[in-house]
Amino acid sequence: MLSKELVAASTVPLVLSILRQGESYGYELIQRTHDLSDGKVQWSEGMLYPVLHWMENEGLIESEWRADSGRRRKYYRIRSEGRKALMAEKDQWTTVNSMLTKLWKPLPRLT
Amino acid sequence: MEAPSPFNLKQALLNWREALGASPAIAAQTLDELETHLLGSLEALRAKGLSEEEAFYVAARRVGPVATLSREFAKINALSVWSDRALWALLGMLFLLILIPLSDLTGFFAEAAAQFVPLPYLRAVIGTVVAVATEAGLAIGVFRLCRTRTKALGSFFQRVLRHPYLTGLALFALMQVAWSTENIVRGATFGSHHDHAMLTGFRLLPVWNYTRIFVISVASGHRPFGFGRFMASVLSLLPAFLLVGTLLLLARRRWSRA
Repeated sequence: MLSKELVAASTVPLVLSILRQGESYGYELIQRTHDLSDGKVQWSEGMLYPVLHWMENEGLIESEWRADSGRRRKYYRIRSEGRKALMAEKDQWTTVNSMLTKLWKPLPRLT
Repeated sequence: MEAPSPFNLKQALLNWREALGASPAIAAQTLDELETHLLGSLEALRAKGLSEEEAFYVAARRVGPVATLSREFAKINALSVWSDRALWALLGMLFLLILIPLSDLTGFFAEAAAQFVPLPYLRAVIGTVVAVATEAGLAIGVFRLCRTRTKALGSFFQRVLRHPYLTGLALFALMQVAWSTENIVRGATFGSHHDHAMLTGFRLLPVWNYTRIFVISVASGHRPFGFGRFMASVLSLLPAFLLVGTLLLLARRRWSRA
């Protein structure tokens, strides 16, 4: 399980990355994250929506209500600002990732 | 064969929506979105073999507690939270403006009834006490009514809010009558210069009052009375009336989401 802080920090890049592959809606976004992490990342479901609305207010994504197989759903799509923000996020996460990988490469001896 | 379940999904969904919708930060569209999510989650749980009732409660639990959700949405919808507070404050002010002349009137009558008291200032004290008691009594009465008859009041407000401008007009008429009556009684009791009550009786907010006085004095060419002055006085009520109508329109948008 991820810590609360890490979940909060990674939600926006995760949403942006999933939406970059194509539009999606809240329920599906949660399913995707769940599957991608083999169940290790479990968002408290309702909490995703304030984040999505915040991202929309910031202009990172846009939304549209559409009926799909009988059910009206709010679909989210990434905008060019969102793509830019994702690039910046990617840089930062790659930096942290490569640092930790370097440090952890020779497994620390536990003696 | 499955036994008919006493659990009513439609009603459960309605209750769930109502609880969430009580927060001003959660708009009707957001409620729809969360409900779609809940239904998706419910379907998946049903497919796993849960009963409708179990699936509903698990799905609702997963969406999260109302308090947490409304707090999170309040962070991003600060404007709607504050406009909601302003709306309540203004509605309270409107209520108070109707209450004040009513309490004053009872105070006057108490003073008049206390004619046997020799000291005039004691009569004034009696009048004031009765006035304040009336105001407090009415406020407590309304508060209790709101507490005990929430549902009935809610549907009443929803019906009223279908005609925001008509309601605004009625409220203003009520206020005008209340203030005017008070001024006439005051004038009759104390013989002061309150006989042109219909013109000055309307006292809402100082800003509106000053606007009115300005419009009236310009339109009447600074003559004390006359048709022009009367018409200007009627016309000058219009902005105030529009303001209250708009306020009620806002209220309708806020409360008619059920």
